Amino acid sequence: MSALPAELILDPVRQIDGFVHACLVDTTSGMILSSLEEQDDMRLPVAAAGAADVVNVLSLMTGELAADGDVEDVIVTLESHYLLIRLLRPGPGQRLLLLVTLARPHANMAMAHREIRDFSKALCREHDWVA
Amino acid sequence: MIPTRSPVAIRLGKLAEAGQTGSLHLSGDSGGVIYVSEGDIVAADSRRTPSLADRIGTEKAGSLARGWLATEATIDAAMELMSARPRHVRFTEPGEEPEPDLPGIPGMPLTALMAEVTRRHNLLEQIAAVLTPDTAVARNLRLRSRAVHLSDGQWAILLQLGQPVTPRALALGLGQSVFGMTIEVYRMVITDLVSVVDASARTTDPAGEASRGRSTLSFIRALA
Repeated sequence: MSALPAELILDPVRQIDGFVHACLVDTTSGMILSSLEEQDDMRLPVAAAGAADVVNVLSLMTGELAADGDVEDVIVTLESHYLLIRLLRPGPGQRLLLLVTLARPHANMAMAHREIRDFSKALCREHDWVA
Repeated sequence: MIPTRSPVAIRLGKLAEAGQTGSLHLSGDSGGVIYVSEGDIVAADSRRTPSLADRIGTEKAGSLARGWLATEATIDAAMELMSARPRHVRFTEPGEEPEPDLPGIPGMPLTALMAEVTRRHNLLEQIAAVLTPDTAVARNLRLRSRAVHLSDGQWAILLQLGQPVTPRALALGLGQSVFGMTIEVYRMVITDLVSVVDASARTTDPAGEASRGRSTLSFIRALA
């Protein structure tokens, strides 16, 4: 898919220690809107599809629980990788997720979590999205 | 019919191979136009999906949102057109007809479009036993839960459900993707916010045949 240049959107996350790949995914359609890869350790489409499935199942859960508010982020710890998923809302009725995959030996989870949260807020401010 | 093996898809393949630039016009109520530039798809409009102009709305030119909305509208329309069986298909080159005001998104290689259409087709196949874009649904007046949390998108859908209506009609009314609306309505069916209308009985069917066998949609299972 010839999307808008990913480096213009996602380049800052490349600086996070352990960065493997990142993408922005529309959670309704599951379509990858922008992507950035350093290595080819994992199939990005599979990771993106899995992340969208996780977010949608968790939204089902929060809906049924009548929880106060929606999912903010999800962290998945695998033996060799961390998957960080952050929800973004560009506008009414729209939901995107930011997926960042990090190689666990090189990553600092707490730092990465904060950097991704800060990057998400900056992205939302820049494009007038809901943080 | 798998959209990517349709006569329209085959015709697009030939245009892509030849690196053609122009417009492929499909006649009839299910018709529309697909715009190609050097073999890549740059826009598409279908009579069965919201127009490009409706989808883009007032988003600023050059903004991320505008680009994504235009891409989604193009894929939504192209998927419909690939499933169509038009009586007439006509290709025009630039200059033969007035130039449309295209959204200016980067051209999409046909292989990428086909892959995305296939993925969406697989997703719709997962839910087809319960819901299609043209299945009538209605608000479920009796909720299973005592309380429920709704997203703003789900509220907008519920507000439209005064009478039985299809996901396609909702999408056209709200200016949203038919595919996306079908997926969103399906999620509301499996949480019992919305029920499929049994056309033969003219009643809703909250716990009957149409609801059995429903399962959570999976994007991973849709990957070919």
